Amino acid sequence: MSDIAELFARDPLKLTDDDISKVVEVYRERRVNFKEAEAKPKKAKAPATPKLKSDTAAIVDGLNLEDLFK
Amino acid sequence: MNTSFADDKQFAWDATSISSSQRCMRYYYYNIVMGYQPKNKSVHLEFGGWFASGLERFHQDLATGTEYEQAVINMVRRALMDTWNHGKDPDGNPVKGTGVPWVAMDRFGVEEKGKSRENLIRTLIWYVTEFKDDDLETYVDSNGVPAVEHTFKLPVDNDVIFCGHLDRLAVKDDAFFVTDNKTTKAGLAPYYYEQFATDGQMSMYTFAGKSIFSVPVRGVIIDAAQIMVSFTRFGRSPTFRTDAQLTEWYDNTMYHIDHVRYLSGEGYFPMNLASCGNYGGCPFRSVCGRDPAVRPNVLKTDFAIRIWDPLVER
Repeated sequence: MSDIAELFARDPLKLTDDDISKVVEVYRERRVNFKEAEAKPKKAKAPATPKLKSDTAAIVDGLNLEDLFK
Repeated sequence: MNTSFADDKQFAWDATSISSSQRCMRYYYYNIVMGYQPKNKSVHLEFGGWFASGLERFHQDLATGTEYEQAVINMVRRALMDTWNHGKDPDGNPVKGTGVPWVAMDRFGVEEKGKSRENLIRTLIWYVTEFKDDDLETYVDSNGVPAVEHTFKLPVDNDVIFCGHLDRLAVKDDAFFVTDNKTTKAGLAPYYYEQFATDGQMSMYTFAGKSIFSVPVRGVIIDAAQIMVSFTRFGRSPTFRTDAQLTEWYDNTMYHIDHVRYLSGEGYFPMNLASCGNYGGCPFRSVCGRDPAVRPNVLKTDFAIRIWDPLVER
């Protein structure tokens, strides 16, 4: 169990001010991390080249224009 | 016993009972008159209440001179205590070493991961950090009492009493506002705040703020927290009420209360079928959808009685 999980699992009547300060510190750090992550520019994904399904690709490869006009 | 009723008619009204009766008279009958509630308490109401209680403690401490870090610790301690079901001694005090932490469940008994105990603590700490350099100051009256979580019982016309709790009266640039905290899963775009433009609770809070503190309250500042599983975002927006708007709201509300009291006297609580699907589905749809003869059994089996009495202080 992590420190923070242990503090949450403990009877709050047994928590000291120092214990609660640790909880406050953890959440302040998490907020900083969240704010930094939000501020980072989002990476745009390059559009993927559309691929034909393998069975469709095999059919297209096998096509012969002359066969089509017979 | 619900002390807000006399002769089967409600005389003490808060925003909840007014909106219940506006939503559907049958809903009002089951929920307010009879006191039926879904067996599982609403996680959203519980979470919102604890969030408001934590901030109440924080603002009260700051307004009475407690140092900032200690006020944060006191706020977190209160929220941790509120969300732990201690056994009680004969005097009603919590007993050390008893009880377990609260687990958030929705009304179907499924764990609600967003509005959890940990996320309540996170939301409180992030809120006071976000608004640490707040330009809203808590109003302190001439007796030195900060206007925080102020319970009001305001006599108005026709022997009716308006009741409620103001989270806080605050001052910003010499303008007075009631503040109210809301928690939601919704995004905090302008459309979220638009719902409050005609919200009766906000009109009542403005009306009560003006009457109680005798200052020109301009409206309510909504401090909204969007609670998600891994983060909380905050937004703030005012909703204004002019004197003419408040007069219109007051006349509408008094007319409505008069009508509800008349129907209560007749023992007639008609269904408003247009509202059955609102708010994620009415909890009493499973009752109204049955034959009238079996409804009392459905109520006894699927619901618990928890009286909502506007005259009982939180």
